[in-house]
Amino acid sequence: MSTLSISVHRNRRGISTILGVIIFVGLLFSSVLPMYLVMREADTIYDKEIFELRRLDDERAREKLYVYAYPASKKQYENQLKIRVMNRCDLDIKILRVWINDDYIVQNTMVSSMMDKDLGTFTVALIEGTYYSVKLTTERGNVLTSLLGSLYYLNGYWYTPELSICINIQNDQGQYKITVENTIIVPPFSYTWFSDGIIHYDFIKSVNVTESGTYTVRVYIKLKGEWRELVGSPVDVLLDYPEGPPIAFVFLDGRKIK
Amino acid sequence: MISSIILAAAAITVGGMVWGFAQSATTRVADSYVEGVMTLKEECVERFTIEHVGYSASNNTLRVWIYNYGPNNIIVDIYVEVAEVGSAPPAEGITVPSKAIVRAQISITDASGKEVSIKAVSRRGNNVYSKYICP
Repeated sequence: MSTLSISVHRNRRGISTILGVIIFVGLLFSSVLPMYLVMREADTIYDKEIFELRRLDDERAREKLYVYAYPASKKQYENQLKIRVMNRCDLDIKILRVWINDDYIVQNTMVSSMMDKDLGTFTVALIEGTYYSVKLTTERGNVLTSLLGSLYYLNGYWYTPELSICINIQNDQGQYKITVENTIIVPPFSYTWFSDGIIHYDFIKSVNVTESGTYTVRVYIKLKGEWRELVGSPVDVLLDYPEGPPIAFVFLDGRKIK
Repeated sequence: MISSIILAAAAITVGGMVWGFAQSATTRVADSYVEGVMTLKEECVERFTIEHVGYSASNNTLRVWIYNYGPNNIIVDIYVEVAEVGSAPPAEGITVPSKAIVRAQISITDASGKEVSIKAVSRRGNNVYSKYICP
């Protein structure tokens, strides 16, 4: 009898323990686990946004657009400026605004990757002795200034840079030779430049040319006593000012040799 | 037997209280955490720039164009310091919607030919700077 009594007593004593375990497990599944899942979800959303943002920042940094602003013609009192853009990156670029001094014109122009585009002509109020600064704003937040710098208007005429080819070389070190030729025009144009010894930095060489036309630019680097042409050379450059900008830019990498 | 019932009832009561408290506490902790993460996210994704600065010498006014190219609307305060002159009263509480450009005007003392430092501070704590030489 006493054995039965003890057995019943032990069974009843376990009920509260079982209840406690049930409550603990219930609490774990109904409170702690949902809390953990909600926190994880918030972290995931944060990580996703940051990843997306890094991608956008990276795209913004990679945007490469050359802007050329120049008078529409050489005639006196010309109040139109032409703007040409050259997209030189692997992204399409959307131009939102064109700034001429403190005024902006709303644009909604998409420039496809590696393409050139004329944005058209823009009328300016002519004021004697005034500099006109032109820049563009892209959708990704870059503000790009005209490569030709500010245009100056005086005595009814625009002061623009001379017809020239601007050759930009990325360089570690090397001795260079640059030739610019146009055999079609009369008299033919031919120009050769040698660097003054070894150059240890990136450099720009500007070459003034006599008239509009297509010029062939060749860039060489001296390697073991021989002139070796760079990858991308020769480059044919069309100068058709005032249809196009008065300066053409050539970009080559002195570390890439044929 | 009665003691067992009392013990079970106590376990249920205390357990229920703990359960309720824990549920309320975890909900609050989760809400607070999510709110914190979302605030941090909004701060991190904020993107704006001083797109253009102009100066009107006729009325000594500096005009600052702010472009918000980020996904969130922002509120910015603009602080200006003119070299050799000092600070100008800030332009505060300028709302710039997402993907929009807004112009702010700040009255300054005659700054022709002087350098002006411009700082735009968003209410979420991000800054952008620009320098400008007044014509």
